[in-house]
Amino acid sequence: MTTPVISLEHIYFRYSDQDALKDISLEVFPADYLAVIGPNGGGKTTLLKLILGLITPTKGSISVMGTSPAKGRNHIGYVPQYGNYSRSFPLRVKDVVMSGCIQGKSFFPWHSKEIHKKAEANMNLVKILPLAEKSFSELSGGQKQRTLIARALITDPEIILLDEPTASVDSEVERDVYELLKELNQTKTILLVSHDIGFVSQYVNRVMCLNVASCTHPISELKTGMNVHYEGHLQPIHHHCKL
Amino acid sequence: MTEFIHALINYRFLQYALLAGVLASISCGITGTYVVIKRITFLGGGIAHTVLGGVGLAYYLGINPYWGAFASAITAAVIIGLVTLKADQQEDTVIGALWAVGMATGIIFMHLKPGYNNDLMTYLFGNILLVSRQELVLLFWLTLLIVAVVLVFYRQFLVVCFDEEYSRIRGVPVDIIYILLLVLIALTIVVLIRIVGLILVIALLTMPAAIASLFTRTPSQMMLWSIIVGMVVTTTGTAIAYTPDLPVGATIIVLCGIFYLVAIGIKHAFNVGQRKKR
Repeated sequence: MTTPVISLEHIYFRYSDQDALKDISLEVFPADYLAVIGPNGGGKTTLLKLILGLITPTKGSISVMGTSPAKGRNHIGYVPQYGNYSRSFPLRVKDVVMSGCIQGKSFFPWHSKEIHKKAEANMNLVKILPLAEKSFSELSGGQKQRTLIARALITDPEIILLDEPTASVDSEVERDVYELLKELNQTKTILLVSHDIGFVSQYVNRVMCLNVASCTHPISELKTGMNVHYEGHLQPIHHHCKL
Repeated sequence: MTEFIHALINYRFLQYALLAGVLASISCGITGTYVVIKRITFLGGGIAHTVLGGVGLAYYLGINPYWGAFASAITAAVIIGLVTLKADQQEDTVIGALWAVGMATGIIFMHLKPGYNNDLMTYLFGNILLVSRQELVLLFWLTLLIVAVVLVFYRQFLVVCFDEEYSRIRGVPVDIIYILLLVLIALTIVVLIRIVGLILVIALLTMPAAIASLFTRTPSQMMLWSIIVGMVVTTTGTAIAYTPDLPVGATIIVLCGIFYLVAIGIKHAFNVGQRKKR
């Protein structure tokens, strides 16, 4: 049996005055393409932070590549929402991509030739090489998202985690981003969170519905009318998934 | 201008003043770039004004005010850094409180020290013409320290300013790097106090970098141009203020403000031109 690359067992997480996650269990396997869908405030970002080891669960255990999230995150390429960045930050696209290699021991301003080569290869892979010298802040939403994906890829991670990769982009760009992720899924495990089921269901293998509590199903079930099942199965733990 | 050049050749205090301006421009060009790109101007203002407390206390105790400025600037940087990173309180409230309490403490010590303390006023409003040889040496070593630390931690400062969360995931000690950056800003403020005074220090810390940001695409270019702008305004400002005997610090800042407005105008005209071409 294949060993999961990410495993969450009965995870609870509580912010000071409310539950963010309740009894969440999830296994992500190599070559999985999983979307975590849920409303705003449903715990999607908390789930990502737990997997990345930025916060620790109140109860339950998490492993990433068979080890703790703090160690296992070296195998993860993380793609945050591009809207989080200052619109006037003076960085070129290639600088953003190369910054993905940063480590605790990255001293002095210059990058090695090897990092330059890797950056070039990844910019080429996500089709932004002609934009390398452009300022990151001048890019469109889709181009920024591709730049952040290239940054995540530069360390050659086994897993890619994406936070709302298509938030605030038009439907054409949304489709482009999912096509790109589908290509990357040939060699990488992908886990993304989104508040919109939209296009994502056409590309992913599995969907996890998350609204404090969760339920995971193969994508085939989504396409055969899961509404009743979701409602019936999850109502006792205040989850209402109207897919 | 002829009078200024003549004085520059003959008077050592004027040569020291211009050298101090050059050194200050290097430190404020480098750390000012981080202040502008990280958008922490208010935080820099908080550190600057807290310095008066340390200067006042040092005066009262009969110690060199620079030591008081150092101690209070670094303490303020660490407190503000920890509050920003860890505390639940709203950081702007805490910075505002430190700002006011620092100044109030300085005023109390000024009051307790008998007689009108003219020298202390130069810390408030600055006077580049009073820089002594000893202070110039101190400015040199401080500037060298700032340049060396930024050279070593350049990439770490940059990624922490750009994306704190990603830096943390990649194993960068974000909290330490952020506080180190604030300490460097605090040291720069101490360097600049003699030039423009702590009331105006934030303007010299941010305006050259803000001007440079309009025409550059990388932080290193921004630092270089910010240093050049700083050197031009401190030198020209000193020259302009010399003959009519204007306050030098204030003249430098007004000149800097004019440069900033002109730079915004040029940038705007350039953008309009680009749009028309399309």
